[in-house]
Amino acid sequence: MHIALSIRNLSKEYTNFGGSSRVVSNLTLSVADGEVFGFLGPNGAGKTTTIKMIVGLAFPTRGTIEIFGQHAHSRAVRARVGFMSENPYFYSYLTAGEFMRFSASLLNIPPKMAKDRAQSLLAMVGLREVADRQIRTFSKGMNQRLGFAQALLGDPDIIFLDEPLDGLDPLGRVDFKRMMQALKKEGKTIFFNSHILSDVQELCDSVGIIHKGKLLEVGPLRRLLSARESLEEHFIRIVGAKR
Amino acid sequence: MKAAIAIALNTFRESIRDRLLYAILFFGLLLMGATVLLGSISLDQDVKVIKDLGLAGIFIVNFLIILSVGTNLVSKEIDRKSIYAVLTKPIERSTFIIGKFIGLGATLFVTTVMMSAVFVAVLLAKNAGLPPLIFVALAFTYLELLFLVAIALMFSTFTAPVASALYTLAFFLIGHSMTSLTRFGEQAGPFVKGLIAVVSHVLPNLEKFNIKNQVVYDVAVSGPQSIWTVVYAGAYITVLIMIATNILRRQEF
Repeated sequence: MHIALSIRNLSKEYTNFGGSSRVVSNLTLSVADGEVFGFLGPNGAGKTTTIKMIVGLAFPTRGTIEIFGQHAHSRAVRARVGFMSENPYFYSYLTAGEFMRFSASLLNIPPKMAKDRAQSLLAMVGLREVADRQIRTFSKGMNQRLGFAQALLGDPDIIFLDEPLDGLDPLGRVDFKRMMQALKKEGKTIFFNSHILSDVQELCDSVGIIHKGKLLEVGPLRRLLSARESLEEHFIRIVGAKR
Repeated sequence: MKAAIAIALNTFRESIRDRLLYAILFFGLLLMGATVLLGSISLDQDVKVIKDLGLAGIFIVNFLIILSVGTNLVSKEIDRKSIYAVLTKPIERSTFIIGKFIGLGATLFVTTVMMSAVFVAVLLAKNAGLPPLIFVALAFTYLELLFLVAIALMFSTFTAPVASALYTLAFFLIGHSMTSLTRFGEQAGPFVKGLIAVVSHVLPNLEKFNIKNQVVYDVAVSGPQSIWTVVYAGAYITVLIMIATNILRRQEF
């Protein structure tokens, strides 16, 4: 089994005039290649900060992050990574098609291939009909879909999604889950945060539960959950005990 | 370099679709037309007035674009999180800054050319002729605008748009007062003299780009002076972009 993501003793502290606060504390986990990993925790647990450190938007105070055995922030690794942020927002005066082609040029994808990939991904996320509309006219759900499409543009081997199901209507959630399952079948590694635990249980092979910056539990779902316990019940029991 | 051009093109597209730009440009074109009116009420000095106000108008309008668009080039991307989708791609943060600079530079090039075309048309309509010095003055105006874009971009990496606009404006005002400040320093005590000497070496002297008086009174600009001004601008812009890149490299989101 190959390791796609390896996090060792990761900590993040923010220092200001009032002192320092530790947002992530000594986090260690690994995700196997081709695995769908759910990163769970209550609000303010450190999930988004962890994802930001992995994709290079924040820097760890201590610890290491490796993706496919290389430093996570190296350019070679970033070319293999897809990322969708929480409540994504893009350039309002660009059309969805222009934004996709812009993203493709950042990934050094040749123009012809970029056009084809952009079209097929926009069709996949249900935005083909509005590809020529400016993003400022998009709803939150449409932005979410566009965020997902741009994350897949470089045909990444590992995809990080920060609250991908948040703010979607039930049909949108079904679409997203279907797309994530399709990616899983293609052998992609997916690491995502979510509050919607029933969806996590449906999609994930493994989960990690973080609370107040500390990893409480990590492992395959079938090992963590007892036969009669749902993920939601398990989560409440584990996190509730630490409150 | 491909990625920098893509970011530049994106910045250019975004800014030329911004309605604010059209409002400022409309005001600018109106100003160009007004130079004819103001020239006609002067006493046989209409060509001089048109040249002076025309060149000043082109600069002011583009400077307004820098204050409104340039000062939030990076901060708006951070606020709206659109920067996340860019910086997580395999590009360097310096590429982002260079792309932003080229993008706004290209927008200002288009607006400068548009306004210059109206300015030239007004001069031709007045049978004022087109001395080459006018084009040197326009090139210097554009160079100063690029300089101010680099200043605005640098402030935009770590301050809010309003603060960034105020700092850029302060740089502009100090930059154009540098000659007067130096003269004042010559007559002041040793402490003030020393302080002004330090300030004049650190902050830019934007009067180097102002050759409006030479244009109005047809006084030639020497070749070495022009080359030195270009080198001066290039060196300063490079340093400002390096500072902006360094700040952005340390930024966390």
